[in-house]
Amino acid sequence: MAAPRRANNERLWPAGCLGLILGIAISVCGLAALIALAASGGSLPALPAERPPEDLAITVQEAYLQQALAQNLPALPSGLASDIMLDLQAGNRLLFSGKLGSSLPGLALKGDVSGVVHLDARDGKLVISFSDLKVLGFALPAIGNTLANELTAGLNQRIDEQLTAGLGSDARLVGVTTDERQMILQVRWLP
Amino acid sequence: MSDRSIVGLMGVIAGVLLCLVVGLLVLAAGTGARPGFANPGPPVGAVIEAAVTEEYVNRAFMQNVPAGGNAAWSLEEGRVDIQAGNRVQFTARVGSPVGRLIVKGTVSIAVQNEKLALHVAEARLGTLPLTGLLKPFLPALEVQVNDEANRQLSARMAQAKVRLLGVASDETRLRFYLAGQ
Repeated sequence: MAAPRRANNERLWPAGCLGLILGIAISVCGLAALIALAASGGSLPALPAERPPEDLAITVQEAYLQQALAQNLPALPSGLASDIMLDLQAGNRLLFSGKLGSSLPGLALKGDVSGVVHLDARDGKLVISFSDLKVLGFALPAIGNTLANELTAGLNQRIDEQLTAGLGSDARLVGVTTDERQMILQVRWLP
Repeated sequence: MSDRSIVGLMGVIAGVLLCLVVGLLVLAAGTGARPGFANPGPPVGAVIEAAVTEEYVNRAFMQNVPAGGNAAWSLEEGRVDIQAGNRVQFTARVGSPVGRLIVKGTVSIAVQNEKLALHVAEARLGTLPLTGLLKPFLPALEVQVNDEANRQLSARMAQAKVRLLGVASDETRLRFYLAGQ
């Protein structure tokens, strides 16, 4: 009696295993279909409707400008000015004062120097220019212009190098604004 | 119904139940805990703030997507949504052998030891949670993403002579806080 039952059980095992495999296969296919269905649903959110005027806004505190100037002045070709102090003003203006130690041909000068730096974004670059340069408290056009030209050329080149190094050659300066505490540079990258 | 059919049917039911249990376990493992997000202000000593717009991040994201070519899996389109609390949500449409799939997720951004620390806080394939499965199945993903992000960032910062102190975000911008070297 026991022998036929064992034989019967042995006949049923393959059917059970086949059923199990079939069950797993059905479930895996079903799950894959469900996953594909669930994962393909939904849509991408819309991009912002309005394009902001800049890609990047760099806000630089007056303290950092002071620090950067102190580090970069020795690299300028002039070596004319030292102990420069900066004072940011609204309207893209930067007041500066410092010591002048110049030996122009035939003229040795030592004393205080002051002036106004104007900041502007032009052709994708930050362009600076000087006005109201005073040496020893006097407006001296010849010395002032020499100093201004040298400082302008050196600083513009230095600023351009720094911006290109930090932001890449595709970066374009599209705006600059200042208030009493900080300077904001607006940058856009070429598409 | 013969004995063989009944046993076969029982096998099918057992197989389905087994897959159901395994599927639920995988789903439970994938859910993961939703992390809280902090929104720190500017760190002490920061003298420069660089605020990148969401519009630019989206543009850069799509410009840097490698061309799919004939690859079975390819990123077709993506969106990045910057949110307050140092987090960025991403949604991407991925081409796959089973059709187009939508991958969603949230990445938290922090600064640790003057380096960016990106962490995948949440990931989903459509509506299916995957967060808990990323670590066991893609253990190197976060490390690779962090390494690449820091490699690009540190190259730029070294040239500009600045160092990274912190990061924060609002609804439209990522703000990086920097100081001179």
